[in-house]
Amino acid sequence: MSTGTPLVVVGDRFTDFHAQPGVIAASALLEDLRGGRGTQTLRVTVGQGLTAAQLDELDHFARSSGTLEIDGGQVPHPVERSVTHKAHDKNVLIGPVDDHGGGHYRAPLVLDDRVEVLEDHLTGLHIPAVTLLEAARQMWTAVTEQHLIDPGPRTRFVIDHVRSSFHSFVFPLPAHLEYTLARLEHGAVGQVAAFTVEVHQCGRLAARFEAQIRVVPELFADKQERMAARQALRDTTAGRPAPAAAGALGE
Amino acid sequence: MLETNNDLLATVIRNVTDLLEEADGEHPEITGAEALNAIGLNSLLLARLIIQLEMELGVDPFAEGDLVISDVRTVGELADAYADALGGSVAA
Repeated sequence: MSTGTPLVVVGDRFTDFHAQPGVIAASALLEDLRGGRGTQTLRVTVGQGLTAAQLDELDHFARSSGTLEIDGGQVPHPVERSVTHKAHDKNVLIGPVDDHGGGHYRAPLVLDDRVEVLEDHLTGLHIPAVTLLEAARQMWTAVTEQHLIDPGPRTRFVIDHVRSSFHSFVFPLPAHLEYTLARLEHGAVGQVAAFTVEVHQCGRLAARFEAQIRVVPELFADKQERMAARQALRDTTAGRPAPAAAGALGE
Repeated sequence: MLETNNDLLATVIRNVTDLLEEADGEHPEITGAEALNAIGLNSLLLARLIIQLEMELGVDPFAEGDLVISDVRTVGELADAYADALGGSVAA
């Protein structure tokens, strides 16, 4: 191991990426650190794919060993799971959200390679688009709840639209998400937020999501969904769709 | 005590009018003949309307049975649905 160019540590499942020069799998690096190293300082860039436990252990070595230096100063950590509306820690894809003012927010991409959207779909060297879309969803969920709406009655997030564009591969290297609020409106049945979320890596735009969501009080959203479900069930069993003029169910 | 059909229609019109004013500010005068979707009641606003009417009248005609929202085309027919659910006769 060299003290010059930082070694890039990535998740164990990015096996194709491990063959790149200067890349090491998380478990291999931690095994090396556990075994004790000499006095030579090792510089490490933390890439994507490490589990929360691996990030914690790396952080521990960086703070206690004196011979491990993290590029960028500190080990990234995922945000608390509830912020992203996920049920399992491994599915969190972002770190804490920073408010940059003027409707601009930023968070690191912090990807565990066991995440559900990679579990059965990991091809080649890059992070698949669907993973980035889920990261964007977590970003807008976190920004909306932490910065845009008041705590109060439980709400549901309803997506009006998402337009995605993908500009370059995202590899298991440091990356971040940028949220920019375009519009926030308050109405009779909740709020409407329009925004963009961009994924950046190596100083380049990698993916862009332009979206509009509704934040609807759970009471209204639940009633709307139940009425729509009954309508769909009736239409299915009756073998015909509801006449458009009588529907009044579309947004 | 059952409300009269005219009372029910007035209650529905008042709730529809209040909701449209809150949602949009501008709306046509509601008499009962208007199609629900023509006056800007989307599915979410309809859901809120049904909740408000349930709180006021104590019944949701669409919660059980065969009636679904697409069976109701106009504000007046919505009032009729409540009359049926409350056991009253259906207004013309």
